[in-house]
Amino acid sequence: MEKNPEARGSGAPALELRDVTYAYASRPRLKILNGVSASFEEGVMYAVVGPSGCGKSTLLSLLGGLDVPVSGEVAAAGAPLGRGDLARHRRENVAFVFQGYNLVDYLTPAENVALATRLPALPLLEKVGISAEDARRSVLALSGGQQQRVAIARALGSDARALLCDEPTGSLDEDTADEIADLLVRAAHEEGRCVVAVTHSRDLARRADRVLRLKRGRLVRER
Amino acid sequence: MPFPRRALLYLARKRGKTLTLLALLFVVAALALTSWSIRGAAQTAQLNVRQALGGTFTVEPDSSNMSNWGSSSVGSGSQITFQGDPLTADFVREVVEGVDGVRGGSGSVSNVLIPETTDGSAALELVEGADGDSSLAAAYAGDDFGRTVQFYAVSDSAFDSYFANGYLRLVDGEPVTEDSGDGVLVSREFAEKNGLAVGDEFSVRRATVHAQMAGIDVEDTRTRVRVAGVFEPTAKSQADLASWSMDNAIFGTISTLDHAREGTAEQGYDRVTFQVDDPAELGRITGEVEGLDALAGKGYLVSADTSDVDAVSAPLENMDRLVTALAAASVAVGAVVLYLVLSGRVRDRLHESGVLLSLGLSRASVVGQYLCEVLLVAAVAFALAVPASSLAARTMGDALLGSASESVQTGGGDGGVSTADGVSTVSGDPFAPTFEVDGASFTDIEVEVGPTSVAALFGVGIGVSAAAVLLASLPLRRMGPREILSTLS
Repeated sequence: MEKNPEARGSGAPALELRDVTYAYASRPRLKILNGVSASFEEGVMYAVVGPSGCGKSTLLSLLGGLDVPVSGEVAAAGAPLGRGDLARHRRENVAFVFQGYNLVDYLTPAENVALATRLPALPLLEKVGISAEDARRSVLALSGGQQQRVAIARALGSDARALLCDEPTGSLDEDTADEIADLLVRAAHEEGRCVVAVTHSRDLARRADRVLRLKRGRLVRER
Repeated sequence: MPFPRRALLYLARKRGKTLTLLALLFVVAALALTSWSIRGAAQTAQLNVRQALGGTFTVEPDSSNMSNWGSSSVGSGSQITFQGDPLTADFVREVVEGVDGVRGGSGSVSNVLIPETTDGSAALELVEGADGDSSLAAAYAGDDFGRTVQFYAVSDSAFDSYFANGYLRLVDGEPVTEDSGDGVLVSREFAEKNGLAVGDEFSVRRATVHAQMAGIDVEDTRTRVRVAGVFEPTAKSQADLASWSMDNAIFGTISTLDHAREGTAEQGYDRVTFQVDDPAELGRITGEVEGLDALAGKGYLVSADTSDVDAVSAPLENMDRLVTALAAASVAVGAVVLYLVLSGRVRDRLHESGVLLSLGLSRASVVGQYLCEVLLVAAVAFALAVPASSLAARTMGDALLGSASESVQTGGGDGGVSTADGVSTVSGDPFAPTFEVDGASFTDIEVEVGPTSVAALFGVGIGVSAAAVLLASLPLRRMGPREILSTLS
């Protein structure tokens, strides 16, 4: 794997945070994010690390258009997102990968992928290591690692330029987590997607091109 | 993937949940449809009762106020007669034409006469029957009084209560009115026994004992009559004297009776019975009749006896109320249970909803899938409920309406001529024949699940199901994306 992160990326920001401040409505004085600015480029894998409760998931929610900042703005492909743009932003610009896989349990892996894309599901599943036979089984019959692969295939099947991953290896064993990390790195490096992974995993963070630490409402680049 | 396909896949692969919902919708639909069908049958039965009984009111001299009555001598005796204006065919016409809702009416006065051949050389043969419970038969044994029949002088036989209420049916010839002259109606059996047909003649006269009491020659009371029509009783009847049964009765004009019993025309009809279109209008109609110049303050009594209608209708109305309450309760409870079940399903599937929303699917697509699932199951459940409720409605309806009918048949009114149906045909004539009517009647109704009920089930059922899904989906539509995300963590 290439170890020169500065060389990664097209330079085109897929997502940007511009002086973003966020606080919960119930506790407006406690600023979870305080004037955060950051740019997330295509072709780069980012790891966002920090202690529990520091606001990592909130950061992901703002990037994914699931929530809006108190002040500042979020931009996609250079264009600021208004409140009216959020649904389209979620549909067109971003795809989520969650710790709990979040597959629809009454659909097969192929059908789960078909939820997000009109592309043929089997090649996408094969790309993440799911055989054609497994693609037609119930998702409940798959292992955790296989389910996460299906979730990644589903995300890769969409047209989204940014993959937003919330603890994608959090419930997987070491070997499987390593395989999932490979898939995310390839999504960034081979498909030119912007991958932002919120994680506690040092291994996953180590695989990322850039590591950002969220501390006391500020985002600090570690690497 | 379009939401109808997702809905189909869910229903096919979550068979337990699908069958549970199917069973729930089936039970609610079958219950509602069954009670609705029985309600419809009960209302039809009520309508039939009203139409069968019709509405009648009677105008007759008020016998409770003796200031309108006077005594006059007749032969060796005396009689009490009404002193006011007589009830005539003109009066009947005035009421029918002047009061809205009155279908028609007929004056009626009766007496007993003896039918004989035209020249009086031989008595006509009477239809045999059993004597009633009174002692009349024994009292007149050996006298020609035992050969008397009831002669009803009517102003329009079509509106006479016996014909209007269906106890007699004209099967040949035409009705008798005041313009019929010597025309009479006789029963088919009486006509056959004596070889009579429409157009044939015979004679009637008073009984010897009556002529002697009036001090007149019995031959002077003889009058020739012509058969204008033939009727047929629709049920067996019985009277105090066997010869007074309806099989021997003669319906004719008041002029014929006046010839046999002089003074009848001057006295007018004993009573006039009017038929109305709707018994519910009786109160208004009798009020207007009482206000007519021909009646007001002239000693007449206008009475509308609705006790028979009430007695017949009450059990059916009670059942109608019960079944209506059951139908409403089943729909209400069904809707509430459906809402609770569906809201539980939506709550259980919040996670799935969040996944779909995070994949960029719209809320409309997610809710549309749930709606599609429920409507598909509802359509199958309703289709299955139709034959099931048809069977249940027939079984339960027969039992319910049967018991209501029994209660109807034991609830006849007092006085008058009460039949097994509780129908009063003539009031105030203690010697009139009574009918024995078959128990199968207007309440013998087939309970069916009709196309209207099925259409209503599908319309209301689909509407309620859709409303329940939309209501149950409110939390989903109100939740922000962040909340949905938190449900996924």
